[in-house]
Amino acid sequence: MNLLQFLRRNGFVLLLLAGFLLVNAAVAAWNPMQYSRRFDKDDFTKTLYHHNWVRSGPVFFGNSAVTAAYMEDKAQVPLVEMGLSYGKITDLKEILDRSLYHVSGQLVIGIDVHTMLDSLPTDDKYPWLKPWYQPYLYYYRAYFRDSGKEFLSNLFLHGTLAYQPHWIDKELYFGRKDTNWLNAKWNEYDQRFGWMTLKDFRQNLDALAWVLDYARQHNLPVRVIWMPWNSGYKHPPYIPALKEKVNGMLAAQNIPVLDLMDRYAPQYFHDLVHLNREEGAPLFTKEVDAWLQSFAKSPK
Amino acid sequence: MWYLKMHAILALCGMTGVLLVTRFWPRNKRILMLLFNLCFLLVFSVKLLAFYLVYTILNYIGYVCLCRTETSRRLAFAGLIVLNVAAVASARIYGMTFSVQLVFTLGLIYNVLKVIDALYFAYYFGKEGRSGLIDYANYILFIPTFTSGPILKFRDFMADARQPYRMTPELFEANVKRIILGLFKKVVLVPPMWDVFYKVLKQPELHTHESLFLMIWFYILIYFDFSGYSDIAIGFGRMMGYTVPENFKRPFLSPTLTQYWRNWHATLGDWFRDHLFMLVSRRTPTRSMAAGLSVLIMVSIGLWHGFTPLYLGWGIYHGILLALENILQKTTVNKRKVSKAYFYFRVALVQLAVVAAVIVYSENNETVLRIYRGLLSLPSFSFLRVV
Repeated sequence: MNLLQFLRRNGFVLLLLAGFLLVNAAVAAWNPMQYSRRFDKDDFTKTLYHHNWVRSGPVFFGNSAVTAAYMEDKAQVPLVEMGLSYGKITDLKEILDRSLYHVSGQLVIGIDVHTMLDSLPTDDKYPWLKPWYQPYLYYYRAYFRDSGKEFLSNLFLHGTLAYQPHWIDKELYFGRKDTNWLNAKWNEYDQRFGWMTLKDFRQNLDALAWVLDYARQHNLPVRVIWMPWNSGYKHPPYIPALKEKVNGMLAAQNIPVLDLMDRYAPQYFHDLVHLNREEGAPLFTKEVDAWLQSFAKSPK
Repeated sequence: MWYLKMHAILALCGMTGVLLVTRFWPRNKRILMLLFNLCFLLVFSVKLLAFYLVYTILNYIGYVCLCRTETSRRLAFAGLIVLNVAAVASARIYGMTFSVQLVFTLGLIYNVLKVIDALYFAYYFGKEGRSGLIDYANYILFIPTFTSGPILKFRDFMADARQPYRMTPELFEANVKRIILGLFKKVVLVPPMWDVFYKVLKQPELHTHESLFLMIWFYILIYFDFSGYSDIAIGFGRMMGYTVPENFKRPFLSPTLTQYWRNWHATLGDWFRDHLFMLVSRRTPTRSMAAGLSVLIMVSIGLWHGFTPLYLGWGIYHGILLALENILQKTTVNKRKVSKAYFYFRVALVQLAVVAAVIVYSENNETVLRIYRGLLSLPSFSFLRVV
């Protein structure tokens, strides 16, 4: 069989494959997961959206504890609030390594009790989590399916192509959870993570070492803040060992550290890890401002 | 069940690719297929693999013994079947732990039929019917039909195993189209149909028209669901070099229930009919014997689906209708010898008879009883009073 015969006899399958690859490439180039309001967004995309898609600047990175606590619009030393839901240091490494964001000025990293847990499930919409070999349509198939259902529902039930744009703001935390809820949450965390040791933080510790090295190579000042934990509850058992290890790494590179883990009374918290927006967040933002301003004033 | 998981689809596509690339190796179909079956189950669940390794080996030993033994063949044959059926039945009767439930959810009620088919082959053909462990294991563990059929025939599978792997572009294209059709049914049609079903079912009170709608809608829904799965299984099975039999042969155009049960889940009906008829008589049965066997077959099929009063009732219902067809000699209608009107009248009767009981497949007693109760509840037509 020569090439022409092969192409003719296998035409359907080859066209199907080519069609899929072309459509996939076109959709990937459009990137609706990032740019279309028909789809839910991950917190990294939301950060870019709310900063007019600017991909450079000083950053305050962390997980949702940072989103809850840091009020960028009220800060005297404004940093781009890059709190990512279930964000980890491994995510920061990917952002820097893939040049998804150019951090300049300074990099502040907020580390709470969950930021360095290797096994913590995360938001699979973060663009750095998609393996390069997986087609765009395949990786995000669940979201396309849901969006397709919504589209068809709007079309057939309401006779319109218009749609309700999906929520584009990050989750903030107001008020306070009651004691029963907090106790149940503490027990849940203890069951899921309380047994962990330093080896369960290996990937994030390595990522932290990478980030510190990156910062040193790019002359990027790094500051680290141990994020607040509800002082009405005891720390997860792994915290002392983790803090010792991380503080040791930071001290070796003269990275300034602000330990706010036990600084705030329970009244400032929405739950165990998130400060509430009404009282806790303004206090936290003020304290971070004062600390960051002290570096500007310091002769060193 | 695993056709809804993209990783499973990709694994099967990958295996097809491997078979194509290695097609010049005469044994690729048998050895690589076995490796694939085992690895697939291992990745899916270690417990499942462990169970099926033991299950396959034990049944293969029984099969080989039956092939070889020259004394007490009937006793051995009956004993092995009873053991297999008893194991499945006991688990159903005495309830399931999670581990056992996983196994049941994944194929055992289909695989036990394949094991019994192999035992029939061993009994009737003896040493001549003996096959090697690799082919036997491939037969039991064949991934494309593992969880929900179509039910493979031992003789046909072994015949396919002896053939080298052959694939032409035309066959490949036909199978790809078949898989796409199946995925379309399962992924695009079935989920919204379920949404509609549950939306109507959620009404605080069901009336006649709603119950009728639910029964007809459910019938069409499970057709798409099951035939969609069968399409995918047939497509992939044939791409792997094994002929997977058709399971749905235009059942909506069946003019008698007898013909219907050869066209809807055809491999299941054929399996029960062939194996039960073979036990009773190998000569053409009398009308009353055929009627009795029909009841036995349908009750067996009902209980195979589930050990519940609903499925038992379903089996008796269909059995009695089939028995009546046998006694009244109305088992077949030749489309060419009757008028169109008569043909479609008979088709409509059959579909009505099927729709009347198909809701039992929902496997939820409360749903079934609600829908039947709704049939008896006429709507109030209160909107007419306004007019």
